[in-house]
Amino acid sequence: MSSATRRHDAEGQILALFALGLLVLVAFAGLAIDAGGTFAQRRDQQTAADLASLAAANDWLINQDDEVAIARARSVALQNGFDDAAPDTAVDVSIDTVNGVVVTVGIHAVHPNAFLGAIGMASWQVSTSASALAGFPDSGEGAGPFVFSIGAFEDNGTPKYQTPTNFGETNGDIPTSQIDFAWTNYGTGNVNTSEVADIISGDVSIDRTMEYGQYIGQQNNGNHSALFSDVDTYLSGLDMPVAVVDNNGNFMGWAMFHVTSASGGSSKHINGYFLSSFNSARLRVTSCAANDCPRYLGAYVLKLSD
Amino acid sequence: MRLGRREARGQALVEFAFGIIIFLTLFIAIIDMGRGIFAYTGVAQAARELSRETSVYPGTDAIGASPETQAVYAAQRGLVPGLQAPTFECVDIAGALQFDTCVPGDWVRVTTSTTFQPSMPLLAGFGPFVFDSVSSAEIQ
Repeated sequence: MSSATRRHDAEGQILALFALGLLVLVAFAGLAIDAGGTFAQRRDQQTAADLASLAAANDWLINQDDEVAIARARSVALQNGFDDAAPDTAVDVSIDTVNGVVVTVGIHAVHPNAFLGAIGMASWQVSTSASALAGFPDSGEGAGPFVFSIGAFEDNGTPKYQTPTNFGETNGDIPTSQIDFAWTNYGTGNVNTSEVADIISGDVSIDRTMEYGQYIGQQNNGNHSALFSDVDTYLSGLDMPVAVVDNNGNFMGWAMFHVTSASGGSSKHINGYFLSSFNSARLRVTSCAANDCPRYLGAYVLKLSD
Repeated sequence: MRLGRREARGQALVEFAFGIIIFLTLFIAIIDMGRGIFAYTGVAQAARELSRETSVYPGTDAIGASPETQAVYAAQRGLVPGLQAPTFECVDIAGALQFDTCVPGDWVRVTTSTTFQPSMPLLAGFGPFVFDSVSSAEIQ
């Protein structure tokens, strides 16, 4: 073999080695850059799906309109960089109203690879999904032993008393005015002082699911003077779910109430105020279809459920 | 002086020996860089995925023990080489540990880690390196 042929062969070998080496380098650069970019896109996409589902669930609760909620989800996804109208991107929205309203948003988009196309992977499909639950709670956990009047709320459910207010007790089986309350042990018979005391002290926790319109007024409600000092001792400074009833003692919904203090003296009262917030850890939507849940009374549920 | 064929071949061999060392060093360094960045972004990705899932499914017993979180962990182990078992902590919004049951409004803090062993001889002696990442999400 001549030296010219050997040199030509050697150049061929170097070229092949260089090509192979370049392919390996591109693959590992792709591993770093394309995989990192895909991870980042996945996080952005998950964030967009989370926010779109929360916004749509909230929207449905306000408008009770599927089309409006779907448009809201796609609008929020677009604001976060994922356009349902763009090629290679889809924003799927589904709405389930069996228990509260659950909006599921799936976002499917392509991640174009900068390096891995060289080894046959020009793009990767990235899919994320999120579900959000919204609704007015039908279940309270660790509820306070008080029943308040629906009169303490505006027609739209906003609490009238969001600053410390004295709520009295006028011996009625149900509240007799918007600044009145009635004791309850969440039973159906006479109010039992010691049972109410156990609830106040925390020895008994009331975890209850109520139906809209369910009667919860009790009999022989009285002042129960001794309980006011218990409330002052054990509940001052705490937030708790409380039941709200109409003028006939029928359950209207759960509200969150903050106890400031209580006095059992000549002016028996509990001082406190209603909260206006959502996502209390102690209020849940457990078994009511979206249109059959209790009323909005200052607090509602809005959270990711999947 | 003109080099003979044998001397020229020897010179080429020496040049090749130096060249191949530099080439292989750069070659392995780029591969290590790719592996390292992948491990680093992967461990961060795993922490975020786990915290997000645990925020929705905190579990009824120990936090992070829910089947949904464990499924995400299994998937991330398949993606990130050497991913260690994550730690799950219940914290408040300021990051202080909560010792009671983790409830909605608390936060879950997930720490993930993996070990990265460089292949490049110069760096291999300093390894393995531990990459870790922390991600927190509010319990839903």
